[in-house]
Amino acid sequence: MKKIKYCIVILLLILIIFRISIKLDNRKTRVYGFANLISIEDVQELTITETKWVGITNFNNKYLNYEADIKTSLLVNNIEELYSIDEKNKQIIIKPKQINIEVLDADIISTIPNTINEELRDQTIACMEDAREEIKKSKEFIKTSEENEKQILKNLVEPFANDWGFSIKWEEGELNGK
Amino acid sequence: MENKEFLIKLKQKYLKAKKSKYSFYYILGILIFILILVYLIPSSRGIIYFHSNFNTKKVCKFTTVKAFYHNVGKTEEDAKGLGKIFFNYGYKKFWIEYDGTVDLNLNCDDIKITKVPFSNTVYVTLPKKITVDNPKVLGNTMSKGITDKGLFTKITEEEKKKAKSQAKQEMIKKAKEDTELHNYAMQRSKSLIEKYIISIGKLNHKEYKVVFK
Repeated sequence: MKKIKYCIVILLLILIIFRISIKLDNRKTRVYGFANLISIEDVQELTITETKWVGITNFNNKYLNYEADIKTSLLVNNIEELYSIDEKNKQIIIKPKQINIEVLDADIISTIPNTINEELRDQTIACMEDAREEIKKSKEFIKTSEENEKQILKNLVEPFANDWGFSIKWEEGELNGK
Repeated sequence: MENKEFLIKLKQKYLKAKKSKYSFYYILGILIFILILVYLIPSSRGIIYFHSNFNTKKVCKFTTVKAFYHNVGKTEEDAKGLGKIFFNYGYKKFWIEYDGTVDLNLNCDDIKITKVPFSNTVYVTLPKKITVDNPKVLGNTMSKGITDKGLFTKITEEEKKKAKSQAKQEMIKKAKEDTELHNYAMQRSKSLIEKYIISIGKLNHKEYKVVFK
């Protein structure tokens, strides 16, 4: 009878230890597996932004006022490229990524002088080229794009990271426009 | 006498046995209680997490988009009357380039999240309109300006100043009318909220379905 009692107690203890070990393991794997909650498709889909760039370009000593369609997106192929985990300091380190900037099209709004007798196609190409160059130079545009991309990544990662006691760190080196 | 001693010993033995029998049941009870606790408490913060953290304040920060504008402020007038024929008199154009930003938000007070008990459907109510906030013309980005005019026509400093001061208003107007950007901001907010709720569901081994109202 005594042996049976011992067996029951030991069995219960084994069950408790087994369950606790699963819980601890789950917790651990969740910390590392949280990124599974974020798919690369989500990041790509959410970081695509289309915007307008209204500018002026010098075209054969004449001026063109144009409106260009711009598309920005984050260049990322897999989720591991995006972050690493520093277990010791309980940090999720988001690595700097390149922002891809494309000029899709441009429309001429106004010209100086009022009429320009040159191919519209050439004018459009000149405007697109100008937009591309100006964007590359525009620190403010790159900065705003970066802020938006960071905000998205932060929103995707932070709610879960914080819950597990991890903080987010942005790795040195800014996101760069390309 | 011996019988009495024997009886006392027997009683002590009986009490000891009874005590050990009870202590076994105490231990058994405690172990079963611990076991139940260990099995019942969710692995993560689970449902508690959902209710305590999944509030509109948390969601609200998902809904801000900063929009950048590179724009052209203008003062333009065409030649009038005889000026159209003679020297383009009256014709003037002044263009100035500038950078600016505006924030596109959803009003947090109008965001509501409800979950029907014992159901996996989460209802999210979002405001229909995007609010345009915090317009900023980045002063140091203003270009010198380009001018073109007809003969005997002047572009006054006042007109140039007006073109500059109108830049901010034009940007707000543009941001308010930019339906593409509004759609993008709304879609981005919805996607982030939906993904967040679904992820919380995954953590709780539940499949939440998000319905936007």
